Amino acid sequence: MAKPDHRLPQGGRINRDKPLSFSYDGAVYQGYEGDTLASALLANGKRLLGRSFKYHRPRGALSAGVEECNALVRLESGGYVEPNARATLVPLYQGLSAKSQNCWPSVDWDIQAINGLAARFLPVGFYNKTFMWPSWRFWEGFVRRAAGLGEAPEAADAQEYHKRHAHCDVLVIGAGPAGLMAALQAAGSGARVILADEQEEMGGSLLWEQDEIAGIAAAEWVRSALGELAAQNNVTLLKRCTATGYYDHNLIVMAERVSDFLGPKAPVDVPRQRLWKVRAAQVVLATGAIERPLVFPNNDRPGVMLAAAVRQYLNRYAVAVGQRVVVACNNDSAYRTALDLQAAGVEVVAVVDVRADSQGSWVNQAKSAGIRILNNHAVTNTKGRKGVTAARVAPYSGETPGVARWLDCDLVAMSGGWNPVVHLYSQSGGDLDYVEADGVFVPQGRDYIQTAGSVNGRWLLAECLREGAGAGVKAAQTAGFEAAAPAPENASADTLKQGPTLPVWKLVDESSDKQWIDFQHDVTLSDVELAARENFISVEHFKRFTTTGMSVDQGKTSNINGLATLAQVLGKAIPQVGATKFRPPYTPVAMGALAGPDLGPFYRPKREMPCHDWHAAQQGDFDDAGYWQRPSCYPLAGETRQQAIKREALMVRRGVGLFEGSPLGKIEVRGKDAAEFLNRIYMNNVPSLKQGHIRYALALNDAGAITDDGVFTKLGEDHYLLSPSSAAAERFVGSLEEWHQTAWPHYEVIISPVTTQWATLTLAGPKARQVLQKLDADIDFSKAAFPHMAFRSGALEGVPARISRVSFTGELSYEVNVPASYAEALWRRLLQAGEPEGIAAYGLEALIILRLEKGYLHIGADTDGNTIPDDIGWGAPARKKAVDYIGRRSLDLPVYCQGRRLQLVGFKLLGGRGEQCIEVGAHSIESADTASGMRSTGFVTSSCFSPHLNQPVAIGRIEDGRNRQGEVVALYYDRKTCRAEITAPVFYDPEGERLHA
Amino acid sequence: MQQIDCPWCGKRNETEFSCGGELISRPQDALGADDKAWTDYLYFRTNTKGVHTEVWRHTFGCRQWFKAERNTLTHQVVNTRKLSEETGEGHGDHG
Amino acid sequence: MPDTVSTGLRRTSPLARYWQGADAARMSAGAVSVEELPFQGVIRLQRREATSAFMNSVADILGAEAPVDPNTCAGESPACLWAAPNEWLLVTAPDKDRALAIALQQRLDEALPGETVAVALLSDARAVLKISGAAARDLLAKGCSLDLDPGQFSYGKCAATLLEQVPVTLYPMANESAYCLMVDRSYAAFIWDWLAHAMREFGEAAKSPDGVSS
Repeated sequence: MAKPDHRLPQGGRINRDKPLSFSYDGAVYQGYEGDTLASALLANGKRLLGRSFKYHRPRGALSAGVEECNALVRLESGGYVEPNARATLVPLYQGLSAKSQNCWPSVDWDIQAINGLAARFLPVGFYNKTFMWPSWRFWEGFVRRAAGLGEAPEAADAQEYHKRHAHCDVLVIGAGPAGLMAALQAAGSGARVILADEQEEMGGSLLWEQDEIAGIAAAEWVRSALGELAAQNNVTLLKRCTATGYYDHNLIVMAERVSDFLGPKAPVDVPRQRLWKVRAAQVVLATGAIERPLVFPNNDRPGVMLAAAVRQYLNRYAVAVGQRVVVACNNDSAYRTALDLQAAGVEVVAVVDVRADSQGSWVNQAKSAGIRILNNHAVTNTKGRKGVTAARVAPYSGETPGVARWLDCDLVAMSGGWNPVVHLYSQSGGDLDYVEADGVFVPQGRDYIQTAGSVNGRWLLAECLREGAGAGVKAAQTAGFEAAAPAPENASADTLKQGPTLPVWKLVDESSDKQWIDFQHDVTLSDVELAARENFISVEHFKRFTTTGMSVDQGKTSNINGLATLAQVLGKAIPQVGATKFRPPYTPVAMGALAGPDLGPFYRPKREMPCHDWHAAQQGDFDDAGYWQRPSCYPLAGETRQQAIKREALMVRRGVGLFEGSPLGKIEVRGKDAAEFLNRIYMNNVPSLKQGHIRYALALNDAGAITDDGVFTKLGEDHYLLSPSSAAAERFVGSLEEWHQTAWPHYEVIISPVTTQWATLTLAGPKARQVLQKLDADIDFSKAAFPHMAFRSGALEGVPARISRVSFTGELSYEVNVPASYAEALWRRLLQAGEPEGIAAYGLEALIILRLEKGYLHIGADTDGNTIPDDIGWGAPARKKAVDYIGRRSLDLPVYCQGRRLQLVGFKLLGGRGEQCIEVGAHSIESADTASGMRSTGFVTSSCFSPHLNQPVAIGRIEDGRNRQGEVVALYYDRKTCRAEITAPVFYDPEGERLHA
Repeated sequence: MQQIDCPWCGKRNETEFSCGGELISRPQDALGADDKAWTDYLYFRTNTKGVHTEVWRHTFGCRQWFKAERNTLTHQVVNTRKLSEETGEGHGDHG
Repeated sequence: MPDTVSTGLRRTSPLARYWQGADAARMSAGAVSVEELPFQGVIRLQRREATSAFMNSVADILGAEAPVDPNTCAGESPACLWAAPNEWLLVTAPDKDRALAIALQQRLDEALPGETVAVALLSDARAVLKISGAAARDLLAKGCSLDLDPGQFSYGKCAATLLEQVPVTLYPMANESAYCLMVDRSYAAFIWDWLAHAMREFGEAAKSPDGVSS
């Protein structure tokens, strides 16, 4: 185990009583509870933590947080792999295993680093321009192998992800000084407050800055503030929870890393992550700011780090990243790094400040502490193969390079100012203002969002606390709560002053292709210049051409430097160039978290029929029919699916079968205008139907196309029962309600859907009556008393029953409807009663054969959105009905009255072999001469081999079909042609003798 | 996700609703309408750029159809009313 | 139509496979339990226009006024839930439904001659679940986008909404941290499985020394 040589002997927020061992690239190291993977590696002297995307340049951690662009690792193995994890965000746990990525064979010796030598040949646009000849497809394989960041996991994710909704009055995002103050104030008003923060601990910069609030150390103040918040039951504290997306009406999506910090050893049943969907009346964004890198040659070497990150590693993790440090800056805050390092016994070689001077408090402290300050100077280069060994320093005066010298050092702590984290604000649709003095974009403000602290460009603690408190009060008040004016917090920092920042976008006027702007995507200053030369001057085009800001870190450190550089090259002001649009997510979200539990059995809802358990027990082969789970067939032991389907179909023709048709729609319509209303809904005549009788009906849309077929029954005076097809059951209710509510609200009608109240058990076959007659019933099932298309209600085995003599098979058939909870018992009773007749269950597949033999239509399969009643042989009644029903007027449009329309026909295959069928989708063609093109004159919509007729049967629609019966046509499908005779679309019992049996 | 203010149930997530398209009225005398009037009703919409009135249904709530003024540029539903309400303030104004 | 059903046929709950020998399906995990209330009576009452004569007649029959405010409910047995304009759901004890439905239809037809009233039995079309315990709200919030905070959604309120893409009717029950969840019987098993999966994080196995479990 390597000895941690960069760990300070004391200090930090790590728990030295809990040492943790972990592995990185196979070697075992030690860290402590409270470390991140990055801080633990740095403590162990590991600086080289990754390779860049394109040139495979050696890279170390640039930051200590969410903006990290270099230190990407692959965590764990098997079902626990996470690629592209930012080491700065990975909390250390016992046994953690990480690997470097984007390098081979190792991060220290990476073969593709040779790309770096060819860097001048690989500028932006290289791929787009180079691989044009002979074609991109030729090159794609080579390029893909080298492309991509990290590797996708191979095993399925072994962890669970959950989701949940939440509502609050005030959602505070960010638990730094401003966010904590906002939450305290809002909570005091009684408002429901959620405080969310992405870090392992709440407190933001207060966890590591050497600040005091109200006379106590900042971290202590955080502890008491959190204690106060936790004690209130109107407050929810969510740490490890990143707000990643800001959507309409203050819906904020947040990803909570519930058990990531335990790694693969998290207890079972605990989700790894939870996706929160929070609806907030008011949102306070206290999202802080991210430090901006400086752009200079070789600013990407391991050992060039953001100044505040150096400070955070030092104060929070007790890690001195370097021993001899050059601080490069354009603002006061970096002086805190110098002061803290010196206090910790680290040598500060110099503070290199581009500004002439500053009278800020920390600058003055540094001066009195004797720290060497080089004003009017800038770092202009670095040396060192796998880490910085020296920094070149030269006088800085705008464009003029001065005399340079090298300062030996092992760490450059840089600060180019701060970028407010305006991502969520911008996602909300908010506009940004540019503040010239600091070179920053800040929120303009919206009425349902408060912003507070550094996100507004407030850099001093006292300002952040004040603004946070004010935002908390305003948010609570706007949400309708009475909030008292905030009590001023006595921040010791209140007396602090800061000198002005000097925004700078490049430190040296030197042609170099090694001045990095986007570290992760290897975009350099020269790439930006090239983009401008090639006229990618819109910031959105520029972004896509150079790929600036399009990597895992989404440009948190590169966007502003990129667009400011572009502005400079173009000679425009920064606000004229503008910022790119910020889009969700703020930081990458695990795909698992987005999917949540909605996978496998929960991908979409399933509906079960009342006899589902019986079907399942028979090994019924379930098909998805919409949401419904419906048995397709019931194979017996040793039987194939095909054999089962054939047996079931023959059984219905010869004896009797039992089918569950419960999803069949059932809608009761009542009221004195029921007949008139339904007469407008259906193509068929409604008022002429007598009580106790059933009528087949087509429903059209107003354009005249058939949308459904079904039956309706007259139950009583002004009382009808509609049975749309199963697939249309819900849609039909919606359509009835739509026409009633929007077009004809004056009709005295009540629409009452009862589809699932009633199970539908269908007995079909010549022996169906015999079976029913064995049951205890007060209904006369005799042919005379209960004819085809009649309806009877009564008691069957003591259970209220509604029985319809309708048929979708062409056989004598009864649809027995009983309250769903009695269905399974009645189902068993019917099977028992039908045993002598050889009854068995039949599934959807057999039904499809039976209906096709009979030529019954399946609306939507045999018809389409252009099929009108005349096309399927219902033209005369459709036109004869003089009432204005839905679709009636359209039937008189010229388009429906002219030309050779596609009409429903049957097809008889000629010269077929064995059980050969005509393919569904085969087109009737005029000539098989493919060279001159084939014109389709119609097509086959349903087809099967009829076991009863022992021949293939098919129906379809063909031009002028009714007049062409007996004609032989060529049917083309997939480069094969067969011949078929056009017939009537009914193959079985055309006279309907069996139906009326 | 937008919240839509159902005139009966109040603000609910957009996923509970379905849109029935631009508010149109079926010709009173459909059978007497000439081909142009009828096909205008069937197929022609104003396709407004900006705020127009649509019918929406609170499908997974009270199943009622209602009028919604929606901005076709921003997808913002600015106002909802019962079908029977011709004028008035309506329900909700989403800022 | 007789008031009661007298049959040798047994009723089967859509959750029968989860009964495991008991008289209803039940499950729990830590601070939340889910219990099926089998064969609860559910009646839908609809009227085109709720005139005061209609409302008075309903009040006479139910012994309580049907709520007119959207998304509210009144009474306990039967509980009367506003479902849509001029539409209510009545939730009764098992076997009380049929007699109540008949009484409603007959008495309303008598009281309001020539007007249309629809009374539909939906007892077999719905599964009714009781979700209770300190974590009941957290469990429902995993699939329901409504604000279930007692300040917003307390006893006396009800709502038709979606739970994990499934249409449901939900209302807080009296005097306990419990909710009544009604779902179409065809979705009952799906919802049961979903709840079983969703509630695991509240159970013992999810507890750890690190206090991960909420």
